[in-house]
Amino acid sequence: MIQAEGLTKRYGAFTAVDGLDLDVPAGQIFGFLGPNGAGKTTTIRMLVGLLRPTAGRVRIDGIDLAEDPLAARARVAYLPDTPYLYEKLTGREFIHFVGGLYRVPPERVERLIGELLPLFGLADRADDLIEGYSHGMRQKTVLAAALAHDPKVLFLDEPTVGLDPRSARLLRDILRQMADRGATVFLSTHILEIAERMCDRIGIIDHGRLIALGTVEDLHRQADRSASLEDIFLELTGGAAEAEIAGMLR
Amino acid sequence: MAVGATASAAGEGDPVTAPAGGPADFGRTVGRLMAARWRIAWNSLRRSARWRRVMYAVVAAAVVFLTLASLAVSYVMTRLIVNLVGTEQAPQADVIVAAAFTGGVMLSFMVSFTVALAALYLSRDLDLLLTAPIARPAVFASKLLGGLVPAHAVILGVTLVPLVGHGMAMGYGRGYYLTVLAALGVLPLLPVSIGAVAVVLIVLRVSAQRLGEVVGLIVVAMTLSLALVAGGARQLREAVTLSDMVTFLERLRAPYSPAEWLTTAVTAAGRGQWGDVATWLGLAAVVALVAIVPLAKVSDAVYYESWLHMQSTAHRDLQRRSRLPWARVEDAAALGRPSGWFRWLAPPVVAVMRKDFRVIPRDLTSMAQVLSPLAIGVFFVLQQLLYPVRIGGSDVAHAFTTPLLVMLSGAVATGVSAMIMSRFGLTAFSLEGKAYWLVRGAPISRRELVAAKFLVAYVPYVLLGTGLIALLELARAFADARTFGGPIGAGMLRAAEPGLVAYAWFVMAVLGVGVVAINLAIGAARPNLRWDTPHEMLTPDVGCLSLVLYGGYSFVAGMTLALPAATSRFTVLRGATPLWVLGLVLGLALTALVAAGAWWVATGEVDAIGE
Ligand SMILES: Nc1ncnc2c1ncn2[C@@H]1O[C@H](COP(=O)(O)OP(=O)(O)O)[C@@H](O)[C@H]1O
Ligand SMILES: [Mg+2]
Repeated sequence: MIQAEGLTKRYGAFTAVDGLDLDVPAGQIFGFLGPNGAGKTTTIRMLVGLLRPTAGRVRIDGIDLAEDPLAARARVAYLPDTPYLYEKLTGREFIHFVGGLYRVPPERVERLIGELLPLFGLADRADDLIEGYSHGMRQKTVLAAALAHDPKVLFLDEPTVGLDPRSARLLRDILRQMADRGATVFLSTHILEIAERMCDRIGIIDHGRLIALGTVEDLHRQADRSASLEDIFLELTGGAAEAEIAGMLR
Repeated sequence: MAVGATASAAGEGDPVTAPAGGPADFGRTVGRLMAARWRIAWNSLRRSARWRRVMYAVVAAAVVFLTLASLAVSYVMTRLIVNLVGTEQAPQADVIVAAAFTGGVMLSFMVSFTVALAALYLSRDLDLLLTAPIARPAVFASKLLGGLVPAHAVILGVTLVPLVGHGMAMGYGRGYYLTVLAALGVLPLLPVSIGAVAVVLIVLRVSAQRLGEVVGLIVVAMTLSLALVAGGARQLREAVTLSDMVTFLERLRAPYSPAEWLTTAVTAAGRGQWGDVATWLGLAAVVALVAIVPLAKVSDAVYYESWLHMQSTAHRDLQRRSRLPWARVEDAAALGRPSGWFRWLAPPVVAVMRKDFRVIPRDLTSMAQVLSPLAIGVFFVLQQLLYPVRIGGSDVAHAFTTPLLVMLSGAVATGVSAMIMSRFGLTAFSLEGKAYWLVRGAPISRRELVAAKFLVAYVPYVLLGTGLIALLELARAFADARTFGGPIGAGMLRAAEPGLVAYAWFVMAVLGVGVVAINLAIGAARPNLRWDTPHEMLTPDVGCLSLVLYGGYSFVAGMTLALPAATSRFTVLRGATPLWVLGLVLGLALTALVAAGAWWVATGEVDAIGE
């Protein structure tokens, strides 16, 4: 469903993403794991067409993103890490606006708002301007809007950062449901627990390169069987030095 | 003191310092805050130099041209007055100096008020700055200076040039020019102080949401008084002879105005009367320095309190807003449903348009920028109503000048609407700001996006232009009806010119296409998504380029389209239909060319925005 071939992004001499090959099949939740600055956001922005790759190509549902961007984008929803929204729209207006952009009938959007916002605890704030929303409320608003056009592929960049435990749990259930219905979920995170509990498959990225790929069990098998995902992650991403620093501070 | 010293020693390169006493510390803090601001501006300026260079060349050429023109006008006017009076020392020529200083003071005052409002209350980083351990007067001073210094660089430049032209014409020596520089240093202090203190005090009393209305009222009041002064001088109506003009300008001089003190000082310097220079420049300087006192007084506790007050009222208004009609459920759904007038457009286009039509009016700063051009429109309507233009100094409307007057109404309506809507065209893409990821990631084509943004500026342009033409023509017909005598209604019907008005409207609508398209293209090529305060959306160089290009276009196209119609009843030109047709073809062709070029640029550039 999501295919990337030799995806590369350079900023001057600096290579943020380096020859990434990925193939995520439909119906899966794919966890994209990596330390800060590894290139997760850059990769996702290329996959959704917000950033032109220096090299490589992206296919969504078999459609080349560079050749037919509109058709590809219509199948995709994206939840950025810092959701900048229009401060002067209300939450409800925002969701209808996104619905309009994706050509979703307003009746369907309204039904979705009626179902989703109470779940998110946003129902009584739906008619307030977004400028008064917290980070988590903004994320939930974007998520609700993203679900409006029933995307085949959902990209989420660090989705759990601003969410309270209840909403995080809700997010997990929603994503699982979507995957069960055949959608593909691609989420990035630097929190291992989330990756372990939510994802069917995990890719670990560091310094722009994919250094491990497989199910949680695969990764365990590759490393020492008893090692926790944290140990695997730290070892792969050279975190031993960081563990030492932690020791020093203690 | 010790606390401040250690804090600033520890915070290398960190703009935040602990509050401490002493003017030196205050100065340092202001300096750092300003330096951070300028660095941001400088960094964004350095990006993609090629475009900038072209832009600077065009803008620099325009500035040079305008400078030379204004220098020449002031030089020639001065010489004409001197020749008229017949003596080289002609005190009558002082009106040129007075006009320059009066204009400078008035511009400074207008700018101070709106800039102070935007800089002191509507910047997004104020939360950070006012809660950080920085002396509040330093925040106040840096915000005010950051907003006012660029504006005043322009204002002082505009004031300086005619003064130099006058000095050259009078053959004044070095003392004159030095005094001019000193006077220009004094000039902004009083208006800035009055403007900023007034803003602080008003915000302390009224809610921020209502502040836009307050600004509007003040601007309207200013134009009203302008209109009355201008009309009060009956000479303006027949301002055909130079002596009438001089008398008119003389009447604008008020002995209590600081502009007048500066005028006296500067002209005295030209004549070598140094005692007068010291007296009047001294007086202006003392008053200006005294005016700084209330500014310093409000810069700490009062400013903070007013800011808090605005925050809380803003919040209250926000809560209340949810019960306003536009927040109804069906209304929100309109964003995604092409209905009514929008039926024929694609849903993404409608979504973007309706979104912009909601977002823009809800933003106080974007509305504040509309007010001054709008006030100019109001000024012209009042002027037309109270003191109708009568060509040839006669009180009777001449049939053959009517087309000229109708086209003039069209020109005013076009000018005012273009001033307002060019801004929205120019910032159409910048307006999306950091939320641009949303539109860019959505399945909306480049053409749809550009078309939506075009309509967002063009539709209000036509509505506003239509309203203004209607008002101006009603005012003209009313004024004519009064001079005819008899019942007003019948007189107005007799004065009405439906055919000509329709043609003026047509020209206005055509010119709008070009004006909005030009601005859209510039805005797509040079978007600025990194603003924090809406008034930073537009960078000055882009604004100047836009003014030069759309001003040039609308002048040329407007002349070819409207001049044949305006002169159609002049006896010498009677039966000049071919001329009219030629103008129409040329004007429409130019507009089509401009619009196609702009479309090509905008659709080409829109994909690269936001990378
Ligand atoms: N516009 C840019 N210019 C230069 N470097 C960038 C830019 N955007 C990101 N980078 C660099 O690319 C690397 C990857 O960034 P990012 O994808 O945001 O990491 P993360 O995995 O934390 O999301 C970082 O080192 C970052 O500094
Ligand atoms: Mg990131």
